[in-house]
This record gives sequence, structure tokens and C-alpha cells, in this order.
Amino acid sequence: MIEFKHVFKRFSTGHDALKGITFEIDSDEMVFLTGHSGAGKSTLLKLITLVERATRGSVTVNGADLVNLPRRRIPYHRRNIGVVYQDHKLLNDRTVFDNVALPLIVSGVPHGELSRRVRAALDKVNLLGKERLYPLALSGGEQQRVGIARAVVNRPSILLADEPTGNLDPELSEEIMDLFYIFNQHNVTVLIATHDLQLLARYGKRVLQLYEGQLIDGFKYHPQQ
Amino acid sequence: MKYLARHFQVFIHTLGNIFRHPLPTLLTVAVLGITLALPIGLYLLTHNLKMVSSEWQGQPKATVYLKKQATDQDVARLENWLATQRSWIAQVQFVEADEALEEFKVMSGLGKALDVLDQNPLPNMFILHMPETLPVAEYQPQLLQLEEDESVDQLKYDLEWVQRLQAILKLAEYTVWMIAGLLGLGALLIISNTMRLSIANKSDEIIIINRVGGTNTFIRRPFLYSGFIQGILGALLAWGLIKTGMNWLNAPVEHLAELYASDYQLAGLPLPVEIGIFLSGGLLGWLASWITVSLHLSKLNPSK
Ligand SMILES: Nc1ncnc2c1ncn2[C@@H]1O[C@H](COP(=O)(O)OP(=O)(O)OP(=O)(O)O)[C@@H](O)[C@H]1O
Ligand SMILES: [Mg+2]
Repeated sequence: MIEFKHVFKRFSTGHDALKGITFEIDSDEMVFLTGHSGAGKSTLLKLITLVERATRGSVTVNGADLVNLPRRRIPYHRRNIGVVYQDHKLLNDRTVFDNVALPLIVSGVPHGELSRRVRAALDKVNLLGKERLYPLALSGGEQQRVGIARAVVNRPSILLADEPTGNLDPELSEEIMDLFYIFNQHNVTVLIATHDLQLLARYGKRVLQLYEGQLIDGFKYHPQQ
Repeated sequence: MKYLARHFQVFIHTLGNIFRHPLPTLLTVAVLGITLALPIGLYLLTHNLKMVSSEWQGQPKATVYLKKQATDQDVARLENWLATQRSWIAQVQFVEADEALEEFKVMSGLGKALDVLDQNPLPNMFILHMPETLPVAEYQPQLLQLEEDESVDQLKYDLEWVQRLQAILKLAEYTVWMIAGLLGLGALLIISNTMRLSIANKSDEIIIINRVGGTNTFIRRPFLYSGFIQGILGALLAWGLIKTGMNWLNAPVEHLAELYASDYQLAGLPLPVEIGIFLSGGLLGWLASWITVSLHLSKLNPSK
């Protein structure tokens, strides 16, 4: 499903953010990605959505070789991947409904199906009553759930999250993480970058640990075993 | 059909946005309108200058007033002599005294009032047209010689100043075209910059749509529509400003023309130019949006 082989990422500043990363994530897996600040977590996720390209090595997602994916195919590639951000990245001048509908509008989903699917996504994150509100009228946890609804509304096969609980208190964090867990139960591959070691320990999932751009103990690290 | 429907939807949506947030649009349109109006105004100025100067016959001419007592034979002799002077006279016109009086009646508007004169005060005359390009010095001696002729009363000519006026008008026309060209270029830059600002405000929207899989075409579309609509509105404003300005100037220009016994009227915008204003307004808005959004987008996607 997601496969990295000897992946290097050097930024134009000359900084090597990733140095020889190799791992594989199967479909239906849920994996955590941890590491100190600046270890390269966000960079790794960006390689999967092709916001950045690997400098060397190969990245394969859903069987597609991303190194050679032409630029004009990138939008279609992204429609297959849902992404949740720490700062939500919601449009504050659009309603909750319109925010969640964005990925569907972009893919040209017809109007009737669109509202049905937006409601279904909002239902999954428990926000069905708030579709007419604007993001700034919601709490931090609710805004993050809107971000999650937008990430899953297109029924992607992969769900990525970059520190989705970074701004939330422990209780809300757990709630959000549970949501990801449920999506994974419904056959979505989930990869979550997080600092919160206590939280990820609860789920007993595989953990990829980055240290200065390299994986340590990559495959084998299972906190509960 | 589905494709058209989607375009229509974006168009309506864009219009809706403009009505919901009219202030930024109004500001952009005002900037566009004024920057477009300046070169158009200058164009009108040259256009009118050209018309005025062509109304003043460009050719240098001289009027030869004959003495009252000059006989038909004298006239014939002069006519024959003038016919041999083809090297500096392009055209000779003989105007009989009666003919001249009739013309004066019409031109002066005095009409029948002049009938009270018991004799025609005007003499017979020759009107000589000289080639425009010939330097005055080339034929000045011949003119002086003509003035000395026993049948010639006096000779009136407007020579150098006509040529000088022509040269000055030519210079003015070139200058004005140059300024109009610079203003046109300035308009393009100002429009691009205004568009860049309005797109910078939407930078979040562009990034998010890009991240959820919107193609560049999809992202560009509403900006192109709003650029086009703003361009057309800007052109409309420019057009309105020009029309208002013309209405304002019309009365004083007519008054001035009257003082010069001319029925000159301000020349308005020719239809092709009017159409051109709207087309170029729309095109400029569209183009400026395309360039600015594309520049913005090229930073969002990794190269290759
Ligand atoms: N666009 C960029 N240009 C240059 N250097 C960058 C760029 N993006 C990230 N980096 C550098 O790459 C390294 C890895 O950054 P990254 O954002 O992946 O870290 P991270 O693990 O997500 O950290 P954090 O936990 O603080 O979010 C950092 O040293 C960062 O400064
Ligand atoms: Mg990060």
C-alpha cells in the first residue's frame, strides 16, 4: 500500500530531512510515526501526498510509482488520500458543510450525491447538527472533526494525519484518535504522525520512529509487546 | 453539456461572490477604469487634433487680389504666365469678383444685408496652391515678382506658419502616442498588481483546494471569471468617464469653433474603438488573473 525504499530528501537549503528511509505499510494497517521535533515526520507525509518529491529512492503508493508520476496526475493521486492537519486548514469564510464538500466538488461529484456524502461524513464525526455553522463558531475539537470529515468524505483508501491532537487536551485527543481507529476498522490504511507517546501506546499499533531523518527500530518497535 | 453547466455554475458563483463582497471589486474596477480611461482619453485627443489640422487645409496658398481696373486682357496675361509656373504652383484657381461676393454672403451669414452695397467691393482674384513639401524660399522671389505686376493690387499669403503648424502637430501627435503607449503598459501592470493582491487574499483557499486534489484548471477558473468580469466593468467605467468628459467639453469646444467660424464638433469614439475597449478590458483582466494564479500555483506543486 505504502512503500518507501532508500528514500532521501534534501531541501534546497542543503538540509537532509530524510536519510535512507525504508519501510512498508500494508493496506488496512494503522501505523504511528513519532520522533523529535525536526526528525522529518511532516516531510515523510508530504512525500506520500507529493507536496514534496523524494530526492532519491522510490516511493510507491497504491502500486503507483510516485517518483515518476507526472505533475498533472498529482491532483488525481491526492483524491485517493485523506489528510488531517494539526491546524485543521479549514476555510473560515465557508460553512462546515461547504468545507467538507470541497474534495467532492473538486472531483466533480453530482449535487445530490454530494450532500448525501457530506452528511454521512459529518455523521461519522458526530457533527451532523453543525453543518450550517462557520468553523470559527466551533471548538478546537469540533474544528478538528470537521477536518477529519473532509479527509474521509471522498472515501480514500489512505488516511494521513500530521499531529492531529497537537492542540487538544488529553480527553479530546483520545476522542480524535478513537475516530482514526474506527476508520481503520473500516479498512482504511491510517498513518498518524504524533508526539503523544502515551496516547499511541493505548492502541498497540506498529510505530515508526524517526531520529534525525532516519528510522530506528523501524519495523520491530511494538510498545505493548 | 455537463461541461457547460459547470462553467455556468462557476460564473454565477463568481458573480454571487462579487455581490456579496462588492467593496474589493469596486476598488479594483475603479483602478482599472481610471487606468484604461487615460490612454483612451489621449487617443481621443490625437484623433481630434488630426481632424482639426486636416480641416485647416494643409497646403500653403497665396491669394492674388487684382486691381479694380484690371482688364480681361490683363487677367488672361496673368493666367498664361501662371500656367508656365508649374514648378512651384500645384493649382491655380480664378475667382471672379461676383462669385467671391456670393461666397462671402454665405460664409459671413450677412446674406441680403450686403445687397445695400451699390457696387461690389471685392476684386477679382487668383488663388494659388503651392506644393506642401516645397520650401518657401524656392518660390518667394516669384511671389515678390508677381506682387510688382501692374495689374496686381496686393498679395496675401500664409506660408511658413502653415508648414510650422503641420510640423508641430506631427510632433504633438507622436508625443501623445508615446504617452498613450506608456499609459497602456502601465494599465497592464496596475491590473496585474491589483489581481495579485486579490489573489494573495485567497491564498489559503488556493492551497487547500490544491491539497484536496483540485487541478490547476479548476483552481484557476473562478479567478479567470472574476478577472474577466472586473475587466469588463473597468472598461465600462472607463467608457463612462470618457463619455462624461466629452459631454462636458462639447459646449466649450463648440463655442471655440464658432469663434473661428468653423462648425467643428468633438469627434467621439469610433465603434471599433469602443468594442476594442471592452474586449481589451476583459482580456486584460483575464490575462492578468491567468498569469498571477499560474505563478502562485507553480509554487504549490513540486517541480518535475
Ligand atoms: N521546505 C523546507 N525547506 C528547508 N528545510 C525544511 C523544509 N521543510 C522542513 N525542513 C527541515 O527539515 C527537517 C524536518 O522537518 P519536518 O517538518 O519534517 O520535521 P517534523 O518531524 O515534522 O517536526 P515537528 O515535530 O516539529 O513538526 C527540519 O529540520 C526542517 O527545518
Ligand atoms: Mg511536523
